[in-house]
Amino acid sequence: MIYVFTFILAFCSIAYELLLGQSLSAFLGNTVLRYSVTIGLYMLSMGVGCLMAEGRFVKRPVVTLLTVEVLLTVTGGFSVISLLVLDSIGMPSLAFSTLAHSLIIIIGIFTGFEIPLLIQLKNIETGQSENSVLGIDYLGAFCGTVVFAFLFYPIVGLIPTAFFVASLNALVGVALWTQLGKVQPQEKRLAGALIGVQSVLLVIMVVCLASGSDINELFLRYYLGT
Amino acid sequence: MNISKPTSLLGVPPKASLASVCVLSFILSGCSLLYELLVAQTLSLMAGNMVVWYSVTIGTYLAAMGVGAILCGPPTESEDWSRLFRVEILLSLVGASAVILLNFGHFFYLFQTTRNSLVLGSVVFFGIWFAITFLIGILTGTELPLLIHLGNKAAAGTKVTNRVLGWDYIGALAAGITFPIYLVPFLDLHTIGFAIAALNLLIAAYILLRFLFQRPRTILKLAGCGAFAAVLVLGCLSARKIEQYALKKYYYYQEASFNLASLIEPMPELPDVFRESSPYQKIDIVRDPDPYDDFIEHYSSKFFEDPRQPKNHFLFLNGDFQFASNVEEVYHEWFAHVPIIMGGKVPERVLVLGGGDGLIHRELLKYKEIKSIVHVDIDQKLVDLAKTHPILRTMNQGSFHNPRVRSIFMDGFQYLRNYAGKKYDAIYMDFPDVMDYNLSKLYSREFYHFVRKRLADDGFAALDASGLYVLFQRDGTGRPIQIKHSGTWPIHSNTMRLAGFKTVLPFYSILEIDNRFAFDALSAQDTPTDLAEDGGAWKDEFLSEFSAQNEHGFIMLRKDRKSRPFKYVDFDVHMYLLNEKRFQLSYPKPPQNSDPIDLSKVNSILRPTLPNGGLWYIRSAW
Repeated sequence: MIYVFTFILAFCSIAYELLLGQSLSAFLGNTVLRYSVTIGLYMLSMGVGCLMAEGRFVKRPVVTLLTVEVLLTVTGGFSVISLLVLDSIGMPSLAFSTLAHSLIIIIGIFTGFEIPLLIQLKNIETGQSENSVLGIDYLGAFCGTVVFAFLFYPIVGLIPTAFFVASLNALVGVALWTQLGKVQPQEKRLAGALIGVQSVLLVIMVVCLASGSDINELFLRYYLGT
Repeated sequence: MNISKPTSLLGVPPKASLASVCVLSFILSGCSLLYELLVAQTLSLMAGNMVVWYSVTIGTYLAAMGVGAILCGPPTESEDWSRLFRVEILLSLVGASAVILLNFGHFFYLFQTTRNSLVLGSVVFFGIWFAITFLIGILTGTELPLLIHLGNKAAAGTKVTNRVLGWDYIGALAAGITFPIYLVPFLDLHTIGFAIAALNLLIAAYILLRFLFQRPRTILKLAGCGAFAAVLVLGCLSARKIEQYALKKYYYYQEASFNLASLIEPMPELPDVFRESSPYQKIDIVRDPDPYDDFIEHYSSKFFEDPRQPKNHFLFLNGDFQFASNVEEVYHEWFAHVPIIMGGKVPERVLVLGGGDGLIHRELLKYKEIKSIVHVDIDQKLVDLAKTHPILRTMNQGSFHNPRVRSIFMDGFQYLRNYAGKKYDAIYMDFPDVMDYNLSKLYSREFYHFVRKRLADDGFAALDASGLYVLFQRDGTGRPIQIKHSGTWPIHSNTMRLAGFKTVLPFYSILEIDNRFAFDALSAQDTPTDLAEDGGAWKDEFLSEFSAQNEHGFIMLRKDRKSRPFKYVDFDVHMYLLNEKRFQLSYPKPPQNSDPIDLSKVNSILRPTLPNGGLWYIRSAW
């Protein structure tokens, strides 16, 4: 189970980052620059997230992971739309790219949080330390890049892709209820509430995905100023 | 006797400080990501689609790093430095040869195109790419556990995993910024590879001298490093020669490939390729060494009227064909004049987007009525070259020196989006064919929307429609009948109509096949023996083929639906080729623009449908 979660979460995270990189490239041009910087920032912020997660967060992996997934679903799902809106309101390009890069960093940090937490969950399960979770994580990232390049961007489109990936992400968040046994008794209620929030988000994302082309049209019209 | 503590050859104790491990972590992760970005960039130039190859290269890199971390096994106290040394030497070797290996994969593909075994060529090409990307990833993946172990040892007890990791990540960020901003615009890809490899080798030598000097065969290893360093320096110094070698293979090899052994032979007898690099593209001017084929002269009076015009020259941008000096007027005369003749009125204020070679400007400047041409191009280097390079300067007849032309160097998309001045009477879009998503943006519904906003109500926009062609048969007099607009027509027409253009009219540069001079010239030749039986029908076929080779698809756009008389108007401008008869051929049959718009075909920056070719496309020059 943890392996499945790891795979999907890694898939989602790299897909979010490529969505952002490609949005930046579409709005501002210069693909080489956008992609290189996005990847660099992604790796850096993942590292920072990893470091931040160690210590007290790893001690309560389920609750932290639930929180991270809620935040990732929201930021990732609405990332492309917010960039489109920000670009449309005539924001200066420096402010725009600062904001867009902060989104890259935020998603990177959250992603960095995931890995130690998932490893911890696996360790609780098997009672020993192992790093196979890392391997699955890398595999998920690899699949994310391939699917993004060949399917998501040219066939699904940026905005529906954001909703699709966020739905997947939310689905994992909801499925974390299988891990509730690993929660301290005093935090059970908090975890339950988070799963509730995540379920609502899942419904929202699926609805957005279902009306993806309408939302696409709506925001594109806004971008074009009509 | 004074027995001192053992010192390394660098004169400092062979014990690593935490700081030096962190610096190593920073540099090594930077080097590795730089290699991968270099591979992605090289691949993007050889295969078409940059977005695809950047994403997939990074994904493969991440996956391979994971594999490497797992394969590497637990670090051992005594062997850490020698393992790290080996990894660095290997990385340096693979990194330095990456671009060259990809080049040879590309040559092999080009060789296979002449043998019609594209699958084999593609598999070998992408196989080489995958092997390099994966190998660099695996090697990089083994570095980190070693460095973390060494760092923890250096810190004597305190866990410093995070600090070593942190510097590793910062190194990746530094590489991500350095590559696009400081390397790609200034150095060719081979040199970048050699430079990173040299840095990597330097680290290896440092490890050897500082930590492994007591091991056997240190001198031998050091000599090996020195020899390799010499090779790298030599490589950097002969970067131009290596570049010429690769360029000649790219442009001439398909013609000159006799057997697989010729894959590596340099081609000294062939003319050098002129290459200029700008931040946006590689600009190549190629001279075809074959004798000039004068068949076009039965149609065009260019070389007769102006013998100074260059023959057999070709312009390529990023390896993609732009024009052939022998026949460029077939393209530019139709593109510039047909929309004007069709509208029956010469525009006053013209906007040209792209067209950095200045050839479309040359045609437009023939109209005295055109008061100003605003020219927007992203690449100043190309325009500077068009002003100064003798071949381009002769061809465009100094059009960029004309006071009526004003150049603005910026992204056409941004220019149109933010433009708030007086509307233009005509907007010409002369962009390269769509090979990647960067160019796709300039054929998107968003772009056309902004074009329409900046166009006067009775004005027109015209473009060279990437991938558009027409299927037709000829009637008895050679006139095209039974027209079917094909290729990318559904994508273009749906995109433009959704952007609000009511008139979307394709036209084509079609040369007549009932050309008496051409026919006579063919008759004067000996009939090929295998065709002697068919009563001369081969001549018509030959002429049809010649016409098809010079066919280009264009689209004219208007805001209104008004139908205009299909009438030739003589504006008294001098042309080599275009005349009333050929004008009549250029509008075979207007398409019905009344079907509902098919959203799935629309090209958008949010969901590109162009380029519509296979994603496994690999470039070839011809």
